[in-house]
Amino acid sequence: QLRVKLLDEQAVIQKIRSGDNEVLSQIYEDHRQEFIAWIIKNYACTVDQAKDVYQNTILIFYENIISGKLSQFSSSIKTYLFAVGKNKIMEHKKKSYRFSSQDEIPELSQDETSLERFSEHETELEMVEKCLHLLGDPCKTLLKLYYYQKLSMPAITERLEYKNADTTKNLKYKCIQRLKKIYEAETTKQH
Amino acid sequence: MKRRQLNNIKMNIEEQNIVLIEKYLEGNLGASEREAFEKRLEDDPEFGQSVVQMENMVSGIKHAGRKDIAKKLADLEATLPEVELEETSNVIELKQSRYRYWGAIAAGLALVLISSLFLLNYNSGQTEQDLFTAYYEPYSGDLSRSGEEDLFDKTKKAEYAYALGQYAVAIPLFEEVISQEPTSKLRFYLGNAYLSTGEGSKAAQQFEAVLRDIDYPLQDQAQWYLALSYLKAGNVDMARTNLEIITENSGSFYHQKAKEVLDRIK
Repeated sequence: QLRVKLLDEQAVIQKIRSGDNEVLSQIYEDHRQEFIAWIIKNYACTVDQAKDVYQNTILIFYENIISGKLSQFSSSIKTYLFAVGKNKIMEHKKKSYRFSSQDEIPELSQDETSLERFSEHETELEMVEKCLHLLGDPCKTLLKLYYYQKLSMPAITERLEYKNADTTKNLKYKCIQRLKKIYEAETTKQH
Repeated sequence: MKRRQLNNIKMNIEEQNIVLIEKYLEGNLGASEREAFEKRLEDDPEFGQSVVQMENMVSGIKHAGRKDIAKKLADLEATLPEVELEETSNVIELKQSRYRYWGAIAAGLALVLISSLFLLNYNSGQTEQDLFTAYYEPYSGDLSRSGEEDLFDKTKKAEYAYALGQYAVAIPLFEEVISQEPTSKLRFYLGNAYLSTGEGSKAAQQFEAVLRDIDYPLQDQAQWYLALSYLKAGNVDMARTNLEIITENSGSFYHQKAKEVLDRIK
């Protein structure tokens, strides 16, 4: 039934921290039915809205583990997901609520239930993303593994099958410099 | 110094800068290191530029990584079977609106189909009623579902009757409790009960009261039901006004529905 139940909950955190994203797919499938049904029943929204909330919730769960905000579970994965989801759906209505705790779902802080916001505008972020695609692999993958997934140098070295961590470090530096160059080129093109 | 050596040294300095900037951006500098860094930012505008540039790159990379995961989840979702909306397991045999969600959707669709056939023949006086019937679904979100039925508690009695669809029974009970201790939650359900028995004006009164209580969470729902109440009462202008309030709120759950109804009124 729940495949992840057999997995120690801490193991989930270890796996994600070491770059295993497949376990995230497992978690998505395992809690999907219950979560979406619960959202619809309690907060009267459409199935599509509920799916959006769920995907957002899983993303927040993922990034919280990567960033270290979530380093151990005091309850269960399910409870955590529900807590994030509850907060998200309330936000959707753009009001601040006092919930009566009719359920045992814990309350999480704003910080724990939001994605990190970037100070740049969407268009700037998209531009950098475009340059990243132009840069291509191996840089594209390496930079994402390092800056987004926050994998360690040894982990990236193993994953990308490089000689050693120094090689990886060197490559990473070169990649960032190349990205900057492409970005400069692309943004001057537009003027 | 050979050119190559010089280049290597430059690269090393540059590389060290980047590592330092990364640490700063992630908040990993110690207090004194950070102070030194910030002083350098003030004194050295070129350095400041490279920090901003680095921040842009890092944010963009994170944004790209995030989109990868979001796409992965969306793709996964698309391969999965439809979600089942299940019955709640309840201690008492309470016929709650478990299937009402789907039942109402199906009924609503059927009615929309049928009524659209009649719309050609009917005058506009009928349209509001058809629209109302097509779009109204009684709310059943947060009724108390206690395992023990306390039939001596009027509120519980009222909620119980409402959950069973016995609106004629529920209404006087709600009215009585409200006359003593009005709460928005009770008004919300009374409003729904009135709507279910066709009393649009009375329903509107209740939802207006609920909307004045900003602490009550179901504002979007109350706004929607208010619009439907006016529709039921045949007051198209007020219905339109309230629907427009919803369509102006892009975050409302009823945004799409309100738009549909508005299009059909105009």
